[in-house]
Amino acid sequence: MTQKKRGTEILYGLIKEARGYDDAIILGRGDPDFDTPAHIIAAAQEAMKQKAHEASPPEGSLALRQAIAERVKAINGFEVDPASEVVVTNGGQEALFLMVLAAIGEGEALLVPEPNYNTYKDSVTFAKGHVVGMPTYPNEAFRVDPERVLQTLTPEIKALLLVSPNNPAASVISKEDQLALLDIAKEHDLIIIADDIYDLIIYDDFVHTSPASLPDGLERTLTLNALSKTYAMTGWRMGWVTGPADLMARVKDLKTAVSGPASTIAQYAALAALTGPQAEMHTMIDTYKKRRHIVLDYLDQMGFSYGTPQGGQFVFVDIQHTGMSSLDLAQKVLTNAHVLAYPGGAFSEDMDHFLRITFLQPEDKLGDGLSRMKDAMDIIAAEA
Amino acid sequence: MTRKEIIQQSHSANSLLNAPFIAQLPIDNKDLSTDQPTTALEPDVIASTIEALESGQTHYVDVPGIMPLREAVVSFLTKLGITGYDASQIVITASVQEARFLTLQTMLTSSVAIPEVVHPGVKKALGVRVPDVHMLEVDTNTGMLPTLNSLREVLEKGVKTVYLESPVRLTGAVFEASVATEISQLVASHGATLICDQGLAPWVLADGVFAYAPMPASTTTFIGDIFPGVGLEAMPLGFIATDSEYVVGITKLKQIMSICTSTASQYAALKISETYDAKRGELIKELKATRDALEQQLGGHILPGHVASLIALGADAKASLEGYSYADGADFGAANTLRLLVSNSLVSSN
Repeated sequence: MTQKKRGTEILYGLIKEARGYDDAIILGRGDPDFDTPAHIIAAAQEAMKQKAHEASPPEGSLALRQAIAERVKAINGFEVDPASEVVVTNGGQEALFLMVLAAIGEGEALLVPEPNYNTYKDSVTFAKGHVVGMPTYPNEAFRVDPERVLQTLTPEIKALLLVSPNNPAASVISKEDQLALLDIAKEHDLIIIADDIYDLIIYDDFVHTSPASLPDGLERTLTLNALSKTYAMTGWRMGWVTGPADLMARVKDLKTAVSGPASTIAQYAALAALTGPQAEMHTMIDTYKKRRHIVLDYLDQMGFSYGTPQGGQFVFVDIQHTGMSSLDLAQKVLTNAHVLAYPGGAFSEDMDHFLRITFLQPEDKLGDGLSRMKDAMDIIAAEA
Repeated sequence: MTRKEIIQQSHSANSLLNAPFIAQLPIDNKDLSTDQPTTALEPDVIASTIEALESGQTHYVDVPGIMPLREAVVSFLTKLGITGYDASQIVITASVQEARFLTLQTMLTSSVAIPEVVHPGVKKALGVRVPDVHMLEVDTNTGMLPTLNSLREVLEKGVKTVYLESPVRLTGAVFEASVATEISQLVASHGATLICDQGLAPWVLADGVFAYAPMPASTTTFIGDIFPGVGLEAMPLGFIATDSEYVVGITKLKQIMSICTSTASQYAALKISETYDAKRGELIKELKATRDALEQQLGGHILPGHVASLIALGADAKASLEGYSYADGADFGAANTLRLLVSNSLVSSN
């Protein structure tokens, strides 16, 4: 497939086309089909009534930063000082952008295990740096092999990206590998950029480990998270970065330069999400677990192979046997079945024989979409 | 040196990025350091926003903003005299600071000219990826507006991007219509582009001489706050109105840095758009009356300015402002100057 377009441009082009079909079923975008839980919206309503004049410092309100620090301690296993080691951002995307700008300068490089979320490359390019890609392989369950990381290192690499569970490959980095990767970071004085956004969406017996929770990990790790995926809050744009105070001072200054404080009202909604009832969030996660089985069953029927997702909200499907590029196949499925799956080639040139399929539709719609996709695949196979 | 020490060193040396941060919202009613008036959100705005959220508007929306709001922004700008744009040329941003960042970082090539007295957020936005920055000399007698001579000078040096504020964020001064026209012609004749912050335009006391938006859409990108003064300040929004050529790049960068803008803010603004013009008219009258009273109270310290919402004064006014917070002109590049938000709290206390 052509790589002249940015990966994100390819994906947005497909979304636009899908919107043109009344019966389109989107199995590509990482936007949960659930709406934000009612108690979170109620908190926003109360804040609009009572707090419309309340100023927020650029790093976010202290109450929210304290709640984030509590969450990080309870779920991620490391402690941060809300006063100096937390910055609230406009979603995980801004968190990502700020972390990259804080760690990478002109001419420097970020080591990125591939496949990965396109925005890392886009952000590094903005910073006038470059990405050094390191392949991971489906037959190794997309493991980020520390030995391979070591072999990939070059003098211009100043930071290492660790996304676990990975998007789009849905693989989880084991604690043992995280420890080995941290040792490499220490030995080569690298900053770790950790993306923990799917840390609560973990399957089977896999365990999420935050690099910052490991001995000496926090002092060189910037960690992002957001409420978008776990609380169905993509439209609110609420995320955060945590890290050591010295690096976070830079993140905070960058935040003031890029956009200033996040919406006070959205921050109150975020506070309600983190400190209020968690039952709906757990129900959503349980639902993703059920849907994963539905998707994998259909993929088995279609004869696809895939790495069983260890976490996240998607499966990365091997389409090599079709002989088609990922964009060609995604386009054909969209045109013929009105079902949108994301082409792997948009995430990495080396992943052009994969599709990313998300679990983010109600079960009946998910079944309908996959059934239509199966019909389309039968026709494609017959034509071949 | 360790990696972290190198980062800290480069951070400390970046004087643009380290420019002061100025808050958008006051801490209390004696804090007059902000540049937009604030009021409570109307109950119908709250109800409409919650209705949108409860009906499922809690998901990603289009990167440049929801189309009805972009259309409402076109109407808002038209009423301010900013014409020539359609909704496809509007980008909704998470704040006016995001609008500064997106335009400056997308539109400049290798160099940019900014006034030597300017909102510090401009310097911060440039500090993220530092270009060659040229300073435009300003004239104290016009309320810190950049001089035509300094503009001509930088354009002749080959600078292709010029950033201006009209009204000036520190003083509220606006260009005379004839000067604005001359600026447009100068910029166009040098093949340059102009970014103009119009965030204080809703409060201009228009008198036919001073104009805040005479620059043509073909060469000018306008940025500013959306519907200021009616309670959106805690859920701020900015806008960019620009040529279609730039919309693509600005949208691309907006996607990279934040995907889209909070839906709660966008739906609140959409409801506000229905009544904003009438409310703005009432607010200007109130602010003007307060400003007149303050002018009398503060006497000869006032610098030239043409907005109802703020007053800039010489530093010798500090004595009459004990107990109040105000913006320090030094943060904008003008030492011995201060800026006050026009507020009844100050009038009644003296």
